Amino acid sequence: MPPKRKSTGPRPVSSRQSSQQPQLSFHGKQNRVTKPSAAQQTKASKKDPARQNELAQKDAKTEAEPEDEPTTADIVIEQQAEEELQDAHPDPLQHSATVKAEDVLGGRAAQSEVGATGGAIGTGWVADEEEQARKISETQIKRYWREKESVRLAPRVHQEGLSVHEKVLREFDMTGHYGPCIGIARLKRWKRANVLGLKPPIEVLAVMLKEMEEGNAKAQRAHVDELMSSRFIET
Amino acid sequence: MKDDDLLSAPSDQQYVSLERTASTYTPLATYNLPKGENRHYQQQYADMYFARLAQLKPAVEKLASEAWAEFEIAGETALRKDRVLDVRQGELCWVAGTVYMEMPLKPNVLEDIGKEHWIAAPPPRIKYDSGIGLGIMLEDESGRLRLTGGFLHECLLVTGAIVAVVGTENKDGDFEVLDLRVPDLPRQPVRWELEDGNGALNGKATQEVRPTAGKVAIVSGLAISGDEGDTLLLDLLLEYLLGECAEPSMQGDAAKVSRLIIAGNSLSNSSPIPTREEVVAASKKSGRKIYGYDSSSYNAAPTDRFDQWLAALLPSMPVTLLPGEQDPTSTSLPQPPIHAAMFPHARAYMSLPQAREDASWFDSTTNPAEFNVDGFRFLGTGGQPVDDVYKYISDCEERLEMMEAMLRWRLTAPTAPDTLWCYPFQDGDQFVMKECPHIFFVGNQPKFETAVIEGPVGQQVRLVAVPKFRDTGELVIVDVETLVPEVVKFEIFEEG
Repeated sequence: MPPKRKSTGPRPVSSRQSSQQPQLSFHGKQNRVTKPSAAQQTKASKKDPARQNELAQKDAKTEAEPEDEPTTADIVIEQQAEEELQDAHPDPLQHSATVKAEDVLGGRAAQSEVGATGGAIGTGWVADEEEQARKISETQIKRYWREKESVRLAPRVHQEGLSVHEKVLREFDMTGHYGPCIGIARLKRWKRANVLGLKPPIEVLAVMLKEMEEGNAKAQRAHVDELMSSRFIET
Repeated sequence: MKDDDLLSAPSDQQYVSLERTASTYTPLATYNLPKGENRHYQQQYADMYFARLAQLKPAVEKLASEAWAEFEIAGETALRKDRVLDVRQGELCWVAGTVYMEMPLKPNVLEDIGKEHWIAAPPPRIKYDSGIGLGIMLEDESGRLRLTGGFLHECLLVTGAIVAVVGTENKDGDFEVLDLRVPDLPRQPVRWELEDGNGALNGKATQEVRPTAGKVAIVSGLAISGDEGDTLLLDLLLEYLLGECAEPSMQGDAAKVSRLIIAGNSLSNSSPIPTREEVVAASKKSGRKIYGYDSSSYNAAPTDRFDQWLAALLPSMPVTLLPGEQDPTSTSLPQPPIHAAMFPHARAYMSLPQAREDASWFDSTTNPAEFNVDGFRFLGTGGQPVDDVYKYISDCEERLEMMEAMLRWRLTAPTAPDTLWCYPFQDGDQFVMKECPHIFFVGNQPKFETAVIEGPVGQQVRLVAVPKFRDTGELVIVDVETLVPEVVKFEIFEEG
């Protein structure tokens, strides 16, 4: 490369102005990339112990934002809940090609293609539990709950903010007799307990159907399931 | 033979041709898993153990209450306890639950991962027994109870079996067992029950007279690996089944065989997983890094050979194919059928995927598999469940006893989630036997063995342990009318 020469002559007027390309700048207020929420206040609050709490909360918030993506566990429970919802409100316009006369009229249990997981999805009722459950009124549910509470010596703590429906569902979740409650939608668990002959209470089914009618899809997943698969548990 | 025989004009002499006996075959979809996205692996195996206990508890408790209703020791009768942890010290009681055996030498995935980095893996153990003593526990949703007592040494127990025990808790907190009960054989369907039922549902009149059933041939462990060593025995087997070899009386016997069941391990080492050293050597040689499976090293010879063999046999004889441990299908039970893509020639005889009822000629089926031949219920596996149970029972080489125990526990794969890979069933354990078979065959066993066992309500089951054809050259032929097996042995005489 030829050695550099120092040139002192008058320079042409700023080449930037003569060229057609716009000026690029990577700093300045218009080009802000980072969010102003957490980064701005770290320096100040590091020294101020009174603001440590605020900082911790803000940290938690920025960490919580990726929570918007559902985990695999969430997706599967949602799928199960959707299948049960569809089953509870079958679309009259949807024709299911696999439903044969024997299924509706109750013939001998037909050999299904998927023998290993107990038949086609949507079945699982042993008798007319669904109709019976829909007939159950709120007073009956409240009476059932009062009986459950009267068995205990002390009242339940930390359940003040919950509705009776949620309390009934949580009590059903925690009863180990009907199997593990994690990784399975609540309605599916009730159906499974019913098919296995464990006689789960019909009032719990009534509560679940009422929650589904209100469109509360969150009630399909057990609360402990959400806690156990939460990402914030320290290991 | 006269000299003119071969040089004479064609004669009008009619030769006797033998017809193969036909059989009625009905496959059952008991072990078929749902397809594709309907198969979920999100759930935990605890669901499977819970479902297994819930399904078998009523049966075992019924038997136990009948047996121990008058069980008295020193004037005290045995009480039934609901949960395993409800037993009290000094109280005679009985309880039902799942058996758990503590075996420190069982394969433990965490230990495997830890060891992988530091030392070479020890050779796989034949039996898991560590020799220290049995650590047997009874478990249900409330907890675990340790079992002791000399009575346990006589019982065959593996992790996952559902049993009821009577005894009392001693001062160490262990439960001393005085007697043990298992669910025992389930209800056995009457012959032709399934076919008659299906016929009634479809509106057909039941046939009063059914033709006499022929025989069924069962073979396992063909272990075709593509080298010349396996050609002669396989061809001998083929010729025997087709009636092309031997003299007319043996050909007559072969004509009575109405179906061939291949019970696992038809191909050997079909998808070898390269070890770490091999992968490193391969990448050094070629210069490119090969991640995972190297498709240029695929050897199509074994499947090709097997396909040609089947295509030669199928025009004459229907075949049922069960996959085994070394076959090209999933290793976790229940193994899905070997796909039609592996059989470009033989798949002409397979049924279309939707028309399951037609699967009567070439049926590539699951492992374990359940089907009806001539009205009798056949239940068979490729050998993995029995081999796994064998590893749990110390000092016992009796495979027939293990097969009998599996039937009495009503479990096709008792050790399933523990040491045998399986699909995580959530709604119900599919390995629980709902109906008792008439014949239970297991492939890939060291030698041919057979026995008949009896159930509490008069069920009779024939047990057949089918040996590996590659090692022994034995073919088992079962007469379906009497369910008595016999063996045909193929041997190559090597002049010394």
